[in-house]
Amino acid sequence: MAEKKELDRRLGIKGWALGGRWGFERYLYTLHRITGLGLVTYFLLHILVTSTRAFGGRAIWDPLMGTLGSGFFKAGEFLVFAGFAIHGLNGIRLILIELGIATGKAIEPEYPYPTSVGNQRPLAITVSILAAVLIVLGAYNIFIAH
Amino acid sequence: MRQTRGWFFHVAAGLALVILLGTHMTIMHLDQVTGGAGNADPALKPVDWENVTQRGDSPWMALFYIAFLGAALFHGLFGTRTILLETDFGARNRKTLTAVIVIVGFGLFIFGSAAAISFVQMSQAVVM
Repeated sequence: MAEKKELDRRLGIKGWALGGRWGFERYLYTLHRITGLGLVTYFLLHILVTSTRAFGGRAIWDPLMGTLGSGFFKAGEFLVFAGFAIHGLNGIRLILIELGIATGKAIEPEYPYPTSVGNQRPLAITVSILAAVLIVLGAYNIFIAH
Repeated sequence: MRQTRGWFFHVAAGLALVILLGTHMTIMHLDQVTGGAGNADPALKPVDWENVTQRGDSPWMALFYIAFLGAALFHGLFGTRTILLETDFGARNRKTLTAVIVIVGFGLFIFGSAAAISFVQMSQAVVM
């Protein structure tokens, strides 16, 4: 009998965007992961940068913040804020879904089978709008008010 | 079971971060929108030395920084590990990857906690 060949079902990172006809929530998933990786990269550097104030005092802190307050770093600061807004609000949505809140009541499966995504979509749209509002406020604070 | 426990703490740390990181971002990046909440002198930037040391002038800040550091490191590094384990490289090197992430996490937690405690002690001396 011929040996059964095991198929590789691992889509890996390319599956974030190239897995098929993804819906809106799938792109939120991709965005969640990209922002998460961006935030953790920034955070590891942030620990090292903010520690300088404890070990070097004002003599190091003031010139460092002078450099980090320039245009290029302001754009980076905005990206971090936008990443936080998207990741944080979408994270709340994911927890609500995981806890079974905002998924709608369970119903008997009758043909044509409905999808629960329809019940979840309003929450996905709401958090996306809230994230957009927060990003606009952050942009105002970072680029205009300061 | 261990993976489920890890996921539980990942979600719990995420919830804690909504509050801790939300507070941090509001103070540091929405100060002009909120009228300077959390900053002693709203006319200055949140990163200006006067505001930074005023905020640090409390043992509660050390506790806040350490809780924030722990939650963010766990959530961030567990999430990174989850993503890396989905790659062929991660699947082949699962144990090594986990060990590296645990060592980096503990190392940064100890370093960051020491910095937070030193900073609060220094701020108390500066503000006094």
